[in-house]
Amino acid sequence: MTGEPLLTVSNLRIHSRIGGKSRTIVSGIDLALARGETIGIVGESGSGKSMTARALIGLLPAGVFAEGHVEYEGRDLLELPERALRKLRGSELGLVFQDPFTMLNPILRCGRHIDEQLRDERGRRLGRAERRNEAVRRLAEVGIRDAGVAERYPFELSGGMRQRVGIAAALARDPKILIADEPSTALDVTTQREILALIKSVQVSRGMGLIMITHDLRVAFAMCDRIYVLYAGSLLEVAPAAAVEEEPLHPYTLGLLLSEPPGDRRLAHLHSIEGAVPAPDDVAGRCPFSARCSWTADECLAGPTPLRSLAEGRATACVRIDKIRPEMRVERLEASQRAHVEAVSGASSALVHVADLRKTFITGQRQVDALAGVSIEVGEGESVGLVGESGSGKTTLGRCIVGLETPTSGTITIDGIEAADYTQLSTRDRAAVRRSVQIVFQDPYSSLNPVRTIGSALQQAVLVAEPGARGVSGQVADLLRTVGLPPEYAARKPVALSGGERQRVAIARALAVKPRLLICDEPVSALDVSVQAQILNLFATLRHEFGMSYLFITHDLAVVRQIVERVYVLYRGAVVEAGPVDTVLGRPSHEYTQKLVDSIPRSDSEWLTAQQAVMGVAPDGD
Amino acid sequence: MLLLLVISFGIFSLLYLAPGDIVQSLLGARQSSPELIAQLRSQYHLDDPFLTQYWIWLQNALHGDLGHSTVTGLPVTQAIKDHAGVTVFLGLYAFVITTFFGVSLGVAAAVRKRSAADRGIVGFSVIAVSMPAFVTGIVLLYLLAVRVSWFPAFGPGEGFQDRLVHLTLPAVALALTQAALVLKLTRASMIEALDQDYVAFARARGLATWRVLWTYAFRNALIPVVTASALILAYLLTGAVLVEVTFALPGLGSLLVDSVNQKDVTTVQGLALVVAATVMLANLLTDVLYMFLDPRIRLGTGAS
Amino acid sequence: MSVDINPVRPELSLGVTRSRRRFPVLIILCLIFTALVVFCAIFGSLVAPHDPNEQDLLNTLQQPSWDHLFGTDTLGRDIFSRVIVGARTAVAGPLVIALGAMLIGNTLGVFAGYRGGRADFVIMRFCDLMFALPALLVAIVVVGVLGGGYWLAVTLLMILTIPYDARLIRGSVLEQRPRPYVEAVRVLGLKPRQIMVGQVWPNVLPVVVANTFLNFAFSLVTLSGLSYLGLGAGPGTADWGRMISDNRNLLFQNPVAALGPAFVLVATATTVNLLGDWLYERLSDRGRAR
Repeated sequence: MTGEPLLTVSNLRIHSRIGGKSRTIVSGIDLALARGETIGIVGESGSGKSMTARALIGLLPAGVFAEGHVEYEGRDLLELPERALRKLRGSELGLVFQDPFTMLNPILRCGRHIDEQLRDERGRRLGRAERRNEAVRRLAEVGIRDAGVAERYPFELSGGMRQRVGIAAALARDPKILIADEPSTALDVTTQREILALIKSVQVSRGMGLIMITHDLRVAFAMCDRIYVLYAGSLLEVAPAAAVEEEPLHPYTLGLLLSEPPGDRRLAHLHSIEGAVPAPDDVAGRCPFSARCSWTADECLAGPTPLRSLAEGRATACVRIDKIRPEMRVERLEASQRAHVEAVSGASSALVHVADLRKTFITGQRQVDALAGVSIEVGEGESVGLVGESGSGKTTLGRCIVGLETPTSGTITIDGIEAADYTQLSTRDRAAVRRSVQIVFQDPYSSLNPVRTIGSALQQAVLVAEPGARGVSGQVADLLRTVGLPPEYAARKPVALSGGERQRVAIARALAVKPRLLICDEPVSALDVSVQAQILNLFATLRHEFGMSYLFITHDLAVVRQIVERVYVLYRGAVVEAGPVDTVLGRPSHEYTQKLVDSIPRSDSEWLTAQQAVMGVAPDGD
Repeated sequence: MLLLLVISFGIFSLLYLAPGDIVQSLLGARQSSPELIAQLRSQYHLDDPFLTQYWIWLQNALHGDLGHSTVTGLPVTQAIKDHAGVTVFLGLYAFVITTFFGVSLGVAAAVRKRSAADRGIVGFSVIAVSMPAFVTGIVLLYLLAVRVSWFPAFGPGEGFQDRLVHLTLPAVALALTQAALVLKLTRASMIEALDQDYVAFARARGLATWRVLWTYAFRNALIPVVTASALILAYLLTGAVLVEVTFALPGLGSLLVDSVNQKDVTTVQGLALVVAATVMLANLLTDVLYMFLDPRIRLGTGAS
Repeated sequence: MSVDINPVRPELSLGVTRSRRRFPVLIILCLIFTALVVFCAIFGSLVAPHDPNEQDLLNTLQQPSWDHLFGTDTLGRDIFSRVIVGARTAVAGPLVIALGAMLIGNTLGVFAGYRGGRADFVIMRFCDLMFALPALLVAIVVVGVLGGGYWLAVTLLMILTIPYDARLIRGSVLEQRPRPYVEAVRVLGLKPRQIMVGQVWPNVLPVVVANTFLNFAFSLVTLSGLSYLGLGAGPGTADWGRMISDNRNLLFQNPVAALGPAFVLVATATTVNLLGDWLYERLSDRGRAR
């Protein structure tokens, strides 16, 4: 649907200058947005997508500068003085932030966030009663029916509610363009769907142009008319969303598409893109993706690769596209066919048995029941998934098993040893248990001690398993090799490693004691999609090699399907469904599981409209 | 409250820790004689067990009777009352200067981070922090009272106007270090507040700069500054002693120093108790103020 | 098999940009000055042009001259020499205070922060007690009543500084404790002491070091304040605080007598403060856990 053009960006370049050193963030991109249209800027970390959003609205941080042209209603926004820009912000261009927990002023009531900018026709502030009415009306527009919310403070609301308030605040002065910077990334999967549906419905009812910034191609397919693929500060592909989904015309886009684990089946091996996203300056003067691309040839390295228009409104930066197009099609076909491995569950002796576990947290006045009687089992050599959203208790369960939390009641049996309360175990038992179960955490950036080298961290782990072992450095090198890292990395400190690499080190550390069960608490959620696939493949391989069991904790159904045989679905501290993963996810019997499955972003328009219909009827929960 | 009790106990015990005979201390400079000693013994209940003595002393204190000075023989409460005026005036004056300059310069520095103005302000504050009140006092004395006679060199002055003039130098001396501390804290707190997402979101919505600065940044930045203000008060009390001695002001600080030097134990005890109580009060006040500023504390932390 | 684990190619991974910032000129100056002060503290009596305690009653209250750079005081002693020798009391005491508070305060703070529970509670109540009282006032009262003395003042100030350090370190430790890297080694089975010393403390170090410097500066100023009031260094000692007090009345005649030691005092405190601030920035940037 094309209306008249609203925003035209030409040759936007963003760079940072700190301490005399200049670094490119975005090197020359073009965008076009029309009234009523939704465009998506898709990129992983380091692509420059967030900075682009900031540049459009003129809110770049200190030391970061933008050049080029951003045309809006006949004026170049980059040329405007700050005062003129300020008039435009909020009233013409709106920006919604990513993290609802930090977006709102904690000492300001929610209603104030919305009505503080409202003015009447003569430009004066509205009276108190009017302001209240407006605030309530706009809250209803974003699906909050409870008028009392206007008087509450942000900390009293859930993440989803806060995001809605944020959206209402951004729309307060009825801007013509809305820029949404990863608006749902910080939210639960089910809430994510609601928020995205909300944004879309608001856009349609107000006739706004929408710029969606996301790292998730599936979200882009669901929400956008046209997609811009951004990589290391350069556009690699531009095309209508449906066209990209059907046939991507750049190896990177193809890679992204294939790296995304499918929600509806299990692949024997996930396609991944090796390496990590480079800094724009490091790949200037050639195709930015060339180092990681399987079709690189001399012409890719010869010079810069700007976008070239192809037919049907598509453009790509790949210089070899005509030659490799058929090969790419084949690759895609193979990837989707390579698929379909049945998850075979081999029933064997139970390695870990959890019975009726309860855990209550008491903070001050409030009491939270994280676990309300959960029973699960993990067999020897089996891979089990624990799926749920925030507040489901899945992380607490994992932590109880490794002894980081002590349950309020219930039993945990690890390899025959009763281990609900680690402090009660004898030294020998405790050592035995610790050698049986290890854990890998979510955030690779804080999983490793920043002041120790990788080698010394692994060394310590090896020595814990085998005090007084000899040839430790050899073992460390072996561990690194096992997780796919070159042995020279032992001398590096964590700060020199990328997120994916750090996660590999964390896995190596856990493997040092040769555990029988590895608990993985959202191990790939903090990683880029392309890296995520690498790590998932690593998990699968390690399992074959060492015969370990996994307890895989995640909120991502598509991910869990690739890795486990059995799955438990948790909701508010209780198991609502359990069984073989294909059954539970393919034909769910509990409505919550169904809701989770439905929340996986899909590109058919029904995904959003069905949600909108639901929203129109029921008020927002919790 | 419990704290105060413990502290008062400690203060009382001081009497016993003082070197030399208790009676001798209580005698002070007076000539000793059996009648006097007997009288002292009964007056101070020296024959009773330690805890009873403490209890009696505490009770008296709560009724406003802090005993008599061993030097002058006058009631301690009287001495305190006489000297309090100057100190309170000085303290308030210094507090106003501290808050005004510290906060405003701190905010100015934060808003213009890394500019020449900011660096100048920060540089100045580093030096100011290193200048104890007595040094500042001496320098000011020299510059503004000796070299040029803009300000009187000593004495508290009579009447409000005169007092204001007389106490300006001491107040500035007292305030300088504190202002620097407040400045540092305000600046850091303000910088952090300005860095927050909610400030960026406010700007993205096109809110006027002053509103963003005030309602979004400043009011949030204020919270840690207020919490620290009890500490500021403590330092002000400390500095007051030094300043009063330097400028020969007959305030509580001078009283303290004199009493200590003259081994006037009862006065010291009384003063110490009053100071401790004041600090406690300030702490309490800060807690109340903190509750007032931050709704999260008022309503109890809600969702995580 | 190796294809499946997607081994990492080093060429593709991140390089680390270590910013080799050179020492700013200001910091170099600070270091030189501090070194000078320390030198005077140790070798003062050898370097001073005159004997600091030698009284020359014929030459009292002289104005600054080439022979007596700061002039002489009421007893004819050379003020400049006294300032040089005074570095000793200016450095020794605060050093003991800062290091002592660091050692004890750190131990308490790490213990309270890591262990939590009862130990934490007890230690924190103890600290609260100390916080209620301004250091200098307590010092005045206690030292005064007990009869004054330099080392008594030092001991007392050290005891009074410990709670600040303890609380600071405890806060830092509490910040690190829930971090995954600490939890990971707990799960591995490292003993608490190993974790406290080997894992958590190195990350807390920048705060510790910077704070020790700031403590030094603060103690210097406070101690001098005590001496100023006649409660620290004994009468006749060449101590900066004492000298400022003694020579206060000379402002009209020879201001340098009081301003000289005052200037040196402030300069020393300032340089140490600057060094402390700079060290904190430098150490924090080495990628310590944030």
